[in-house]
Amino acid sequence: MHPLLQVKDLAVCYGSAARRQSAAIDNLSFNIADGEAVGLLGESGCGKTTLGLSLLGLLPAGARVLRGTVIFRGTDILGLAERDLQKIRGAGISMVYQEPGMALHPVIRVGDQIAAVLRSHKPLSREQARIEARGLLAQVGLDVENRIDLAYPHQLSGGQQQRVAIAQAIACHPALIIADEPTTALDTATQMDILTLLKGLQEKLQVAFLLISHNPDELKHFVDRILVMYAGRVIEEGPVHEVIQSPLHPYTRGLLGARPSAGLSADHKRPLAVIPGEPPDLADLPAGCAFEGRCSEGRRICRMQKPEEVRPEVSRRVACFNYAH
Amino acid sequence: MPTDPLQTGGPQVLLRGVALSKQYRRGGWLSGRSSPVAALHTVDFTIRAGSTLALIGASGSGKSTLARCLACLEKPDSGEIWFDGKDLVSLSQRELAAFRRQIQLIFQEPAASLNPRFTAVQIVSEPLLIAGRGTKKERQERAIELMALVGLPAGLASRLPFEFSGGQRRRLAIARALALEPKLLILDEALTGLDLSTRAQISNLLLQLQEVYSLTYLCISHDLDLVTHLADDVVILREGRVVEDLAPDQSVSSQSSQADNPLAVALELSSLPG
Amino acid sequence: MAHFLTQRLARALLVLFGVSLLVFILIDLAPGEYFQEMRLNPQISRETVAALRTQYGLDQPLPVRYGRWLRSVSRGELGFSFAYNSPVWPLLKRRIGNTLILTITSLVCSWLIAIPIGIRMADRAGRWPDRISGIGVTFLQATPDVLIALGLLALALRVRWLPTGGMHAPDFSETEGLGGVKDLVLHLVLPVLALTAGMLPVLVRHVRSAMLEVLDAPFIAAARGHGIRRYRLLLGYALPAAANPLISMFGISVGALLSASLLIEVIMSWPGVGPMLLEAILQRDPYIVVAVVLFSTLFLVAGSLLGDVFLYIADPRIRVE
Repeated sequence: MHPLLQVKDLAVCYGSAARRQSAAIDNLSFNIADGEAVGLLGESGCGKTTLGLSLLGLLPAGARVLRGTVIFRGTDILGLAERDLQKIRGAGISMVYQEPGMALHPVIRVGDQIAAVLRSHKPLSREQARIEARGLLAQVGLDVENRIDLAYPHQLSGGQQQRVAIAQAIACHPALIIADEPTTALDTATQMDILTLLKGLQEKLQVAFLLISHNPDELKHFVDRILVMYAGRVIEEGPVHEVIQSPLHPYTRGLLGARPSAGLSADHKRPLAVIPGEPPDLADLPAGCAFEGRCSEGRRICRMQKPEEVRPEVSRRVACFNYAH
Repeated sequence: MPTDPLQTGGPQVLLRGVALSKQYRRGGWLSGRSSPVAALHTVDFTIRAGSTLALIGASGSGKSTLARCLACLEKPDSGEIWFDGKDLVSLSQRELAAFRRQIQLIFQEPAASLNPRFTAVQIVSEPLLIAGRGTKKERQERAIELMALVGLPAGLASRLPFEFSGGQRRRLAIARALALEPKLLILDEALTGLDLSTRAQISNLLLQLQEVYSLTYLCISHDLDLVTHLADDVVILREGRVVEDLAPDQSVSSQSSQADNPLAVALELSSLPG
Repeated sequence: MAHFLTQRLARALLVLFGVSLLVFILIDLAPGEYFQEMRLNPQISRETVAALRTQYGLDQPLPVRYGRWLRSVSRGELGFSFAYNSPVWPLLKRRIGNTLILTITSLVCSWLIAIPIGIRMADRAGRWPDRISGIGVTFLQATPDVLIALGLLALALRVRWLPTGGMHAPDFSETEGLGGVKDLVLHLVLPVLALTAGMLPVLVRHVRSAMLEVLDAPFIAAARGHGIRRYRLLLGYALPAAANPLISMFGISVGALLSASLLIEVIMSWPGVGPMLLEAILQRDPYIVVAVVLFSTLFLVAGSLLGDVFLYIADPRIRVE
């Protein structure tokens, strides 16, 4: 039984052969099964946005896929022509972006924008598409009674805009939805509303999810399995509660330790445990482990080679020499 | 000349807002006409010297309006702001200038407040230039000192803002804010949108600076965890009014789920799924 | 919307007043006067000239003349032409119509050609179609309008498919209905071609750059990510978003086109206001000049107003202000 999405040894870089190449993704592999909710935890510059774009074939002009395959429903979508990709986008895989205001067209009414997506994939008349669009807007909790479908994006709040974006994403019943930091630009109360909405939709529509975020607590409540990304690679993977309770990779441990403890005042106004330094410049990656320079548990071999993935337990993966046999 | 009626001994009060009100006109997508919106409605609060006051509220609760009034970027329609024995609202522009330097504002997205054509050292020394302090050389030296204080090595002095990471840009904004040795720093969502590890670094930096330089912070945020960690006092705004005014240990019950947390209740946050 | 329109119309009226006064003053400042030629003629006595000047009110001070002209405007005459010995309006009426036919046709043609070319260039930016079009456009822009017009005339003479100048065939009064229209169209081809060739480079460049800027925007990438097809993306998403700067350009293009048309009319003997204006300037026939300039201003203001209305309709964000 094939997994819905199978990414194998993917490597993407920016820059041409003539200029310096900057590896955005390096040897990335993971799977997503039908209906599964997977989280991708990573910080700025780790390549998570590039990954999202690669899955949709939306890489910008300067980016190139060096190697690897992305198999969606049995077909390698990396090699597909634009025409075939267009059929998959929105209907097979769709995406919700970080800044909803920027992902919506400024001078087209929101109802019409959703209708346009519908008509790109289904043979509907204008009127039918509009009716279905209104239904979708109601599904994401917007006030269709008051004709919110006639509104323009700038008339809506951030949370409302994101709901419209979600309606667009689910419009054609995709099998996989990629949500790239969908709540980062919103305030706390709205964040929770949007996440609750997404979770509800995921369960109801049985759709697979890839939720990209830099906030482990957000992922904790939403996904089943989590991938941790650093400098273009997956460095840890496992069931979300296990990874957060007992992280294996030093980076994951450092990241989780940098959170202020929720609810307790024991370390009130005490310095938080930080990972020293900054993430590496992807154009200038070292020969060994990319995290080695900031790692407190490094060994000699870490500087010389990149660690392979090992499986300390059946459901967990980690790329660190501390676990290699 | 009215004097601050509540200036007594005890923990020294740095800034006190009394009955601040401000109105804006805004139109919704339904009405199409503009209706007055009360951004602030008789807001009272106190900030003690050397402490951190957190100001929380959802979008539209009036937090940013309050920050702008305190930073003297806008004038409230009514009310008083007592700072250092003077009511800032009643001062003229010229008299206000002297106080402006003591209250500095740091924004959420420093990229928008950092001049993209200035080098780092130019950005940090700009306040000194405007205030007419020192020679060019002295200003540059001071700027480099300030950058070192916030953890930016001198080698980065001639870089442009776009060459810095998000965390580094925040540090730059903090260095600039410190140039005129302010007493109060208003952090308007200054830690929002950062990665966890970067946020921890900046948070630590702020705590360290507060201790060394006896700074006072007004921290505006919607991030509850951060607020509980950093703040000595908390004020919650909803639709322009103060609904709670507490100390963090009052606002956090030790084991309960988020739903019980008075902060969460006041913000009407529902419990998380799963 | 109503408030918006009345505001714009009030402003337009103000502009017209201001322009008429300015032209009056400028003509006054310019050396020479209609009866100057006559003075040089020894057969006409000085007293005759003086009497003529008084008759036509040329000895009055400027404010009086302006006031009289305004009254003439209210009567529908627009002043008096010395050369033709007739009120100005009947002289202009026909000519304005002819100029409008030419300029409006050229305006529509230029935009209708510029938009698809600009879109195509932006879509294929950096690749061959874009580069070749770019070279063509630059070449056209570097060639002066006069040269283009003369070149076309020379070509027409050689090839003899198209009439070389004028607006109607000599036996026009006999051809009516469809035959008359066909004749008009044939005569229109050359001047419209000349005008369009002059306008195209600027318009195409603007369309291209407006489209490029929009194509870079995140919402276009997002729409692509939802599977919107290429043509729909270009025409239904990118073009509406690029409408804003292009509509402003439309207002400007009206003015530019009118200036160019006056010249082309002279070269191609098109009986519009251009040749009449030239003649009136050379002869110092002041009221014709004022009337023609006023008409140009009116045309410009109308074009700009039309642009504003388009913008209001096209961009909902403006309505909030």
